[in-house]
Amino acid sequence: MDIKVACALGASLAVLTGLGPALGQGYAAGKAVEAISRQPEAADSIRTTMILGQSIAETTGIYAFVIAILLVLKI
Amino acid sequence: MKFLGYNLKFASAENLAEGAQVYFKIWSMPVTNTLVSGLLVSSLLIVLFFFLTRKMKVVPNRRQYVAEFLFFAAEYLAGLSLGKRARQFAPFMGALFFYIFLSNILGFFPIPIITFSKSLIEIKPFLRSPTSDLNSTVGLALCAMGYVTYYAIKHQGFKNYIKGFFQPLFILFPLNIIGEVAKPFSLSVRLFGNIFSGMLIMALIYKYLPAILPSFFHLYFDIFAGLIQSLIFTSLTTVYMSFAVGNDE
Repeated sequence: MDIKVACALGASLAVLTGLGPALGQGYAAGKAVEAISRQPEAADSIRTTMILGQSIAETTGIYAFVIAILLVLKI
Repeated sequence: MKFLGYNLKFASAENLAEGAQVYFKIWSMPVTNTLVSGLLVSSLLIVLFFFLTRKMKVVPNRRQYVAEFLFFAAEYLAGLSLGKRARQFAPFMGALFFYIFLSNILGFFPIPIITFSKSLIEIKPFLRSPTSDLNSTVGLALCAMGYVTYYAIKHQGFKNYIKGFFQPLFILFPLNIIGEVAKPFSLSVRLFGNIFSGMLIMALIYKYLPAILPSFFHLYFDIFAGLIQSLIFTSLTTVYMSFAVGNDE
């Protein structure tokens, strides 16, 4: 196989990592909705915690993005 | 594209993906547009805060009120996980927050740089977010972790700091080392990846949907993501700092 084709295939496979952060972020948002409906007065701190946790969960997706960019620049 | 007999050439998404553009070299050090915009952001911040904190009084006037508001915002941010020790670390965290936030929203200001040559006019963006360059985010993360490590050694003593690496079990030493190295790595790559991917996606949106829609995406990718990422960087640094020095005494 040509090295360029392999790079393109690898980059498109790396995009599949997006599944993981998406599931994690959706789960965190759902739990936050549950918590807010149970305790509406704590909504502010729940929102900040949720956003912090979500953006940390995003990290693996960002790693995949960096790898995909490195592969694409080799083409 | 033709314009008055000249060929017009605009920067494309491919140009942006290639990385920072080198303006000139000092000895062998390349001066890129991210370096120029980083220096611009820091000089802007220095001038702003110098101007805001002249002639301070007990009863604040309007200028001093803005400065106090910004300082208390930084103190609140540091206090979320540092508790009573917030005031000691508020200046550093505030500097990190304002620098990263201003750098992130820099892509919002379209200042072009136009270069002429024989029968060719090139139009490129002059500013490029310093945080969309891995060099500056690694620098920021190393700076933050160096500060945290300095206070960890100062607070716990050098012996206890080294002992902390062997903590639960002696065999876990390599894992602790990896954990310590992973902190600045994940901090820098997270910031870089978010801002760089936002910039690339904005360039692609401008390529395929050039009217009306980009403004809404600018709101998300520049303002919202920039604010959230600077918040994340700062609060993670305060969390690491609270591991190092404890949050109450």
